[in-house]
Amino acid sequence: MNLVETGRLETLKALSIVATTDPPATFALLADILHTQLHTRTGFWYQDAGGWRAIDPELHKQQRLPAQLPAAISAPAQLVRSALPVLGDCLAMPAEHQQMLTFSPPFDPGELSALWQTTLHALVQAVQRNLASTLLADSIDQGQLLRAVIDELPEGVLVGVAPHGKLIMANRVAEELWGHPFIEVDSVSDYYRYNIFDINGSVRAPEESGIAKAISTGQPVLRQELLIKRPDDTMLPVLANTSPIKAENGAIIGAVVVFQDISEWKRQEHDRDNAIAAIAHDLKNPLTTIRGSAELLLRRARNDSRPERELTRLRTIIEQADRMRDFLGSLVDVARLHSGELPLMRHPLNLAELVERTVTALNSSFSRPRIIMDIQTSTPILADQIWMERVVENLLDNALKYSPVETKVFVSLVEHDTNLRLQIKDQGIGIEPSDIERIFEQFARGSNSGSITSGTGLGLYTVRAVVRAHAGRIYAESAGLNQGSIFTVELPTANAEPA
Amino acid sequence: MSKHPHILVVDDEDAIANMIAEALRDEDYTVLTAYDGRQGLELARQHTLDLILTDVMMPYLDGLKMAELLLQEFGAKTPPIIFMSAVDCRNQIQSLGTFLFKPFTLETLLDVVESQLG
Repeated sequence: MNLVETGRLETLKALSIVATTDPPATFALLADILHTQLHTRTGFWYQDAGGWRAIDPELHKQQRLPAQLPAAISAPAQLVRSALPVLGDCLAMPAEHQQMLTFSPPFDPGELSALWQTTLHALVQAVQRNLASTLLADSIDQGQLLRAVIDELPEGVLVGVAPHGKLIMANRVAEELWGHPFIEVDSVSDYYRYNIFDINGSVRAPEESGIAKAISTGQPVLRQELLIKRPDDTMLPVLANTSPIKAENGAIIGAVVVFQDISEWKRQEHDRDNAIAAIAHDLKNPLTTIRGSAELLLRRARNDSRPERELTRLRTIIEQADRMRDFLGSLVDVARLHSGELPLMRHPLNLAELVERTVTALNSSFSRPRIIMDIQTSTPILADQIWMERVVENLLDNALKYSPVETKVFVSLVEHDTNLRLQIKDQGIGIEPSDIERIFEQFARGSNSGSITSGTGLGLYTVRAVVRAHAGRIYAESAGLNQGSIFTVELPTANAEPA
Repeated sequence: MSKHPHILVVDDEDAIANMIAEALRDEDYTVLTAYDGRQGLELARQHTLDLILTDVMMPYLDGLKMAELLLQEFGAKTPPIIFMSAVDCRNQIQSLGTFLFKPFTLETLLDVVESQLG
């Protein structure tokens, strides 16, 4: 008697073969195919001189079954179920998923062998046929599931793979944000096809993209504000966060960028800037009256030879009104600059000279110069001189203000690619990692700035707004509290900018 | 120029108008105040003035329009006009008069007044 029985080839969770004669090597061959390629739990029975044997290749062990198995011949299913629970699993499957080949006795050994070989061959072919489709089916299932999950995410997702940054997939939201379907590109240099710009509208070099950087450095690229130019020529602002994808051994296999539409946020920011400008403007009138009245009283008090303490109070009112006036002035300017309403007067500017002049002026107030300069370029930039002075002054002021008086501040200016890189390094109170981005926001002050309370909270906000309006970028680095800070400003050289 | 020059101050912010008026009176100027362009125009027609100090943005009749009407009516006899605003209006003012940024210091105001009268 020979019995071959297979269960549920479609999914090949288990396959059992029962045979009366044949060397174990034959089973081993099939078992090997099934086990290694399909991870299918397969069991075999065979009969030899010692009686019935079962092999469970997954367990790599043989098990001797009872010698007498009359029931096996008449009712193989029963045999299987009772003999080996592992193989019994396949019989518990619905009948339509089972394939049962039964060879009824009597038969001669030659026929048996031929039948067995044929059956085995057919089975192997069936298995191989199913192998491809099963694998495919499995991967589609997984892929579809993954795809569905990613498509349901409320943010755009784009995946690129190492080493060249080939883009392999994007989700539905990404395509909506781009306004066009996913474009397959093979390398970073083709990223320009996605029409991504910096938030200030300047063209973005493909190698500056989050995916390219995450793949090349292995570090996440966080909180990038970008503009997507859509096919209808509208510009959509997005916030992008990119993370490298690493294999178990740490090798970088790709990067995934997640991005979201921030146009509503930008609109609110714009409204807020306008509101700030309007409020600040409206406060100028009462301020004019307060200051003017105090000045008027001071003149009268002087003429009337009033006591000095009265004059001092009046002077204080005037001084404080002036502080308010300056504050409101910068608030209005910054809000306008930020919302793009204040046109910059950009002319070729020798940044080196500007830095030298500012440093010399600041150093003159110390008995020993606190600021050390290292200026290596005199390449001009296209900049509004007045605004650029504020940037340099502000960064230097901060470095001096937030570091002990006995420490030095280091300023360097170098040319790097098509940019000038201005770096201001102090040995001061440093910045908490959680504050690194926040310090550039309006009215923000580092959580460790403590008792240092002079300043409007507009300094770095202004600096960033000005730098961005000049198509540049600024970032802060600090090893942490009391580890000093480094502020880096990158501005395109005059030559690098489109005329 | 008379010994006590006559100055008209026009500003819809009465606190500013009054403060300026008081400061000018302290300097022995004779001062009239108006709180919008129409009042200013009326007073300018009724009095002989040596100088007008006016806000730019005002209800009913703004400072620029008031100045234009005065120039139409009085031509070369129109007194010098100083426009005050927190917004840079120099482009609109051009030859109509001089411009003073708000907020200003009293000292600046008195200097500008003096130079315009001189």
